[in-house]
Amino acid sequence: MSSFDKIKLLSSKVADSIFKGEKIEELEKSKDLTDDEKNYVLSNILDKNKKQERFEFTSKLNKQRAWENFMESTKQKTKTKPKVKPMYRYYAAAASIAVLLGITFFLNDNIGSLQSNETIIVDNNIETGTDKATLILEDGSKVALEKGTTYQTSNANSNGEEIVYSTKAKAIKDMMYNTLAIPRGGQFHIQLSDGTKVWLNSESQLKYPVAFVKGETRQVELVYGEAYFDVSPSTEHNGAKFKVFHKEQEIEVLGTEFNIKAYKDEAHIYTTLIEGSVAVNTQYSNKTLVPGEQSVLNTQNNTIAISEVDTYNEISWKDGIFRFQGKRLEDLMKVLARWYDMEVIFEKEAHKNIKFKGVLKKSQSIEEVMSIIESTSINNYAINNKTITIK
Amino acid sequence: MIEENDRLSLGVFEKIFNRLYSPLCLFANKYVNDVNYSEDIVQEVFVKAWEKGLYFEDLDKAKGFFYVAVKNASLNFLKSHYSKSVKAHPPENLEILQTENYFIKETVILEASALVEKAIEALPPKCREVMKLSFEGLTNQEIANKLGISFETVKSYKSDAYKKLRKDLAHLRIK
Repeated sequence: MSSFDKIKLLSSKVADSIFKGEKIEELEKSKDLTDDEKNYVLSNILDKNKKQERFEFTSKLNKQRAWENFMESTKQKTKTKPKVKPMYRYYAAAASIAVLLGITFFLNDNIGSLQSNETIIVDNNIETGTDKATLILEDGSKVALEKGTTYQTSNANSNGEEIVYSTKAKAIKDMMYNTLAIPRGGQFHIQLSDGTKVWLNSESQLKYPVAFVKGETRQVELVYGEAYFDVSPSTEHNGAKFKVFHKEQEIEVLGTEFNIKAYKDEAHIYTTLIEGSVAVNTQYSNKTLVPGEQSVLNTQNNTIAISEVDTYNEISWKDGIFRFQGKRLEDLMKVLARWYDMEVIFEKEAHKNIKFKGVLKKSQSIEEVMSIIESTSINNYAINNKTITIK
Repeated sequence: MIEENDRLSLGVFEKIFNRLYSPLCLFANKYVNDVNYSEDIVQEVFVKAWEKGLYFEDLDKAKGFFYVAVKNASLNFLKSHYSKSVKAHPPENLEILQTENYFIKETVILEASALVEKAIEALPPKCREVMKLSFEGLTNQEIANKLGISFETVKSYKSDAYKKLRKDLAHLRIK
């Protein structure tokens, strides 16, 4: 916990006890301060005179002049660095940082009135993604799964957010396969009959048996797209290995967590290992990954490169956020296009290579997300129907 | 946190400045007990942070940095000027000012006050009036007399307000 986390927690506890009309009961659990200090804190917050003192002190400050001083000294000391841009750019950027910071305090900050008036939004039909999937049964029939609808068969149960296969289902020699297809703008979670959990990202397809044959290698296929696997260990299945097939590669595991990204519109397949051990096998090579490593298979020339990565950037999608650290805007927009089911046009080729760093919440609207990107990376953008143009 | 090609844009930095300048000056004042010294210290800290090209992922990260930086700058200021017996007259002796608990107390006062103020401002006007007086320590009867409303009405405003405040606070906790 960083020092400010502690302060934030304590502050919200204090505010909470004030809102509950309690005295210091709630705070007694906190060992950070003595009782005298707690009383001092509470009285400073509530006491009318103390409030008045703070108010008077603040009104003596000259924030405007302070900012001008700041600008002056930065200009003098680093002549080349911070260029003064026209003021309206500050306001557009300033408005957007509120969303970047993702903090409620900012909501009262008249963001609306600060919003850049350059952004053109015509018929914004871009919707934030939701939990949804199409289940394709062994006979080819299709079932739509989405939030709010339930579905039940003898082997599986879905509440519209995930589908769970029964661990009791008996596997027969002639294996029955189901396929789960996630559309653009969707995501879904599945638990296979061996207890393996799989998170499926937008525009992905997973094919798997309704039940696995005891003691035999468990095999599933990531037809395309992105999936995060938390594999039930081999030790719980008489040593049966787990394999994830893809037309370009095969992942062999013993019981582990990893992410595979194999989109049709990308020339690389990314396999990121979080925990345990996996082997990445292709027609031409076999490589083993250790936790924290990522293999990148170039499907054009079949070479595999392995590097260490910040794994959370790779798997944050399954936790409802997108975390990017210096990601190229073109690659980032591909990720967003799948979740928001939209088209992206870059007016300037150079913009594709802008690097972006930040955290976006998957629950945010496309306009919120774009204003963050606009504040840090691009000049302007326009939305028309389901298309975003980066200007 | 520090990455060379990944600094915040000036616009973002200005936003952070606008949000934090006043609370940081209030905070510095708890060490140096002087408006002008407080402003100088806070400005200097902002200039240094900009020159270093610091990157903050969110406002909390920025606060975490600036509170500590302003505390250190204030203590350094006191140490340098004390010896030269300039006019500085800190509110407590240096040993107390240097403790972690002093830092926690003063930051929590500022942060919790901001939470309380924000939540109160979001209440409907009548509720707000009642709650402000209640937090100042007035009894329900005193509030009723002061606002010219009945005792029962005060109680009902307070109950509504507490419900809403708790809801708002739950909202503020979302990470």
